[in-house]
Amino acid sequence: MYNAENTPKVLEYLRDFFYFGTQDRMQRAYEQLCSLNGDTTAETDWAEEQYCFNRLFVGPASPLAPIVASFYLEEDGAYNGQTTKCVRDIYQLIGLELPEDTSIPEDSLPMELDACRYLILISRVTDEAVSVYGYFVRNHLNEWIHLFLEKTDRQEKTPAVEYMLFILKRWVKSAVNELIAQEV
Amino acid sequence: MEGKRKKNIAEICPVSRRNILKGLAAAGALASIPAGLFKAEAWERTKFQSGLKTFRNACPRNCYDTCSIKTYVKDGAIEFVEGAKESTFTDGALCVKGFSYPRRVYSPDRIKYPMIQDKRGSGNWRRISWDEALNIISDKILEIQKKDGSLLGMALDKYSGNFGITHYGVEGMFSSLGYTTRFVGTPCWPAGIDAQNFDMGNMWCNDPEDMVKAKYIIVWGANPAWNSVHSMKFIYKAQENGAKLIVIDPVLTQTAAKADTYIRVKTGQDGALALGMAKHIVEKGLVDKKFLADNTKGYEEFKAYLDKNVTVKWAAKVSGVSEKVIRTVAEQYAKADPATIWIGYGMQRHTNGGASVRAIDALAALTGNIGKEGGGARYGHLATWGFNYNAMVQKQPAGSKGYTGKDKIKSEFANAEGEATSYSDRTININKIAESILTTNEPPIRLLWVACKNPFAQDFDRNKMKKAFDKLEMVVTVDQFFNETVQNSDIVLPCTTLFEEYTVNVSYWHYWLSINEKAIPNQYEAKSDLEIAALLSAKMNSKVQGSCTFPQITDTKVWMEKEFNDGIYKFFGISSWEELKNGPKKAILSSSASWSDKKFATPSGKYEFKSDLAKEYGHTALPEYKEGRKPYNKFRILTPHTQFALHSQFNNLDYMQEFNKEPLVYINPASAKAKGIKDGDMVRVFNKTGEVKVKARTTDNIAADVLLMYEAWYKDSSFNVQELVDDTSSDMGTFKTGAPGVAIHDQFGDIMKI
Ligand code: SF4
Repeated sequence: MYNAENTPKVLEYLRDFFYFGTQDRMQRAYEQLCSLNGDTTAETDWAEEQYCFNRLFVGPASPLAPIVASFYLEEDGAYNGQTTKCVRDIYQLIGLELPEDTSIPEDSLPMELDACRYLILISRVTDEAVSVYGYFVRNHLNEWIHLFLEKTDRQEKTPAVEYMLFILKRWVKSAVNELIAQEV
Repeated sequence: MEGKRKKNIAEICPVSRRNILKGLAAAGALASIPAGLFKAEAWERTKFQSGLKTFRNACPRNCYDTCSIKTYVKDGAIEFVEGAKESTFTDGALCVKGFSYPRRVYSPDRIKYPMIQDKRGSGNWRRISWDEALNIISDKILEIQKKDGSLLGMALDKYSGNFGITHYGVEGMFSSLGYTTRFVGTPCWPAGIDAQNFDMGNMWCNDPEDMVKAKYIIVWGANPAWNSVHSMKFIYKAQENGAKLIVIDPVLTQTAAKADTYIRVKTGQDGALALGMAKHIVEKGLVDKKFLADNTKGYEEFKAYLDKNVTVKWAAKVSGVSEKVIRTVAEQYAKADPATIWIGYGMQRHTNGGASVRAIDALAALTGNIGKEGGGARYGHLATWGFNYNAMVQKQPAGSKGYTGKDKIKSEFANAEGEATSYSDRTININKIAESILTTNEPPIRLLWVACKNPFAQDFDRNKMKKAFDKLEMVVTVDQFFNETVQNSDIVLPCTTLFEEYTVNVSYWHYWLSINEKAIPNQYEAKSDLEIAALLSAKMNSKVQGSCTFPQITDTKVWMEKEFNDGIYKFFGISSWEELKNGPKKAILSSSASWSDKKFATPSGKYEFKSDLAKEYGHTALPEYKEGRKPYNKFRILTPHTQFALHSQFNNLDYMQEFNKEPLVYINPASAKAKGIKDGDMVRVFNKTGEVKVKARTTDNIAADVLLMYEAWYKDSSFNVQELVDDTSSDMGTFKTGAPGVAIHDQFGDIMKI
């Protein structure tokens, strides 16, 4: 199946890296992912990693490559429009919702990665989740993640940020390929 | 599932909720799966909300209109906003800025987390938790206290970014820490406030909705077609009823384009024009004798001044308006009953601005148009601002030491600042921030807290501001978006938009009261000013018990409730603020006219042509002509407000950039030709303060000796008109607001093609 045994872990570490955005959590997620993949960790300055991360994804200045699907899929790039709503509906469909104190758009990358991770896990017990996962990855994630990655391609990146983006790209590509293959 | 296409879940998702539900329930799957970032819900609780919830909000920006807003929310997100129909002022519509609110709230550019910049200006930002941010700040406060023995080294720079009443809690937060340094006064309207106070004892205008009753309307130095769009319908209605609209302005504005007569006055010479009109009215015997006899003081002296010093010919020469026009407008104004004058804020931003407002007020008094419905010398009012200022009035911790000078905090909005003590805050003119930071010592300003304001875009002499910021040991800015002030800060704290907190709003123009409900959750980690104050208080007290008295209440609704009192309830005819959930309420006015009982609040109880108080404050007792600032360059530089922003707010949104793509300097075609400049050329505009590089646009809308640029900053652009505006004071303001205003429009410069 599309989900190799360690895919949920890959998604978990990617999720943590993009969600917490602070040195300790970024470093831990990066090291965990490198170790899972059998890759050597790069020598890097974690303060620089944070600056780079914030310049690209967070702010406080306009982020160069926001990690929210709406930015790429909505005409005005604003959050909480149709895209966020559709993603929220999907989450509700699979029984998930953000805790009330988390006012981050549901179509933020870490949330979507977490939803994929969750879908992969529940797909072990229900086939319907397989369809939702397939739909979510092919018709949604695959629609914006490349636009996002293209934006990051044009920017200077620190080693850990670059690595995590590379793994993200690799995972989306393989996930989509597997889904296409299954269809055939 | 695609953003640009509007499909619902049933269309886009190949499985039904029921199927999934059955599958998972049968498998008992949920319990075995770690929830991660989400909270996994029982299937039974999974819900698909339908229908929209409505909330009441109010636009809290520094805008005449203070619109009452109705907000439609679904699943915790704003779907759209509209103007409240219950308010006959807002009348169901917002301006382009107001309609862009959802974009503002959900902009990808919002500041999301507390962040710290490693080396100010480096652009190297790290995300920190609220706890870490407050730790750093509280440590600094305690360090200042230890070093200086007081908190005078801690300064607050706050103004009009959010006029919600509970936002005065920022001032409260400062008081609750000790005696500090406060920037007092207002960059906006102080000269006119003092002028009206000298003349009438207060600044108090007619209900703008009563302009429909006017037979003659003079809009003098205001551009409501851009900056008070809701007022225009009353002007149009008056026009439909036969009223004449006269617009007096150095610029052919959009309001001027709607006028029956547009009069281009030389910038800063409004006083001469008004005195010329007064002279003609007196000469023609068109004064309201009864009003003058019963309700004024000093008319004979004023008449003597006019007789001796003013001729229509002189007024025409000085103001640039022909004698014929002066006479015609003066006669028409004096004969119409009622006739009204709207005095704009732009026309008092001069070294003679207060004197000009007094001369215009005099026209209304001469003709008996004060205290009359459809009449009035309209400038603004604070009659509906009688809240408790509960969040603002906080006690300093026991044993606090402060300034021993005589300064007392003054504010045009509220004067209550606690009990008299032997110590006070150290006050500094808000219009001289840069200069004051550079020159204030013993102790120097070490920590600057910026809230509801972007001094780099709004304050004067941007170059000096940069030097001033470089002197500060720590800068904390609370804001929603990145700007040059944030860029020059150490810590930025994300604050909520109006939709994420409770507060209450009134206007300084109309008479409506609106509550502002929390309609959506705080976005990302944004917090309201009050939540921040409460959390800082908790942090301070955890380090030194008793070091901050600010109540540790984080629920903004509780704070809002505390602002209401019986006076407000009575004035608005409600028994509880809860009634405002059904829509805004208008004050119950015995007359739509201010001063309708002719009981003026001056020392004499009359309208004072001759004001001893004015003399006491260093002005002439009579509304005499005052020369303006001497030009020091070829062109006058005007930097008025744009249609698409409120200072630096809104212009950063893509939506607004569609309308207002880039900064421009407007120049008269004849002047452009003389300078070899063509429309669209890049030019340098420069003076002794600094320079900007900008694209030129030629237009007849301005006079040949004027260069005009709209005040604002633009996203991804370093353009800033404050490079060209120095901090020269206007003539009045000290009496009511504690400091004079700034002669924003008394600036000069030159232009050159690049
Ligand atoms: S900016 Fe002024 S006119 Fe526009 S919505 Fe706000 S209060 Fe109304």
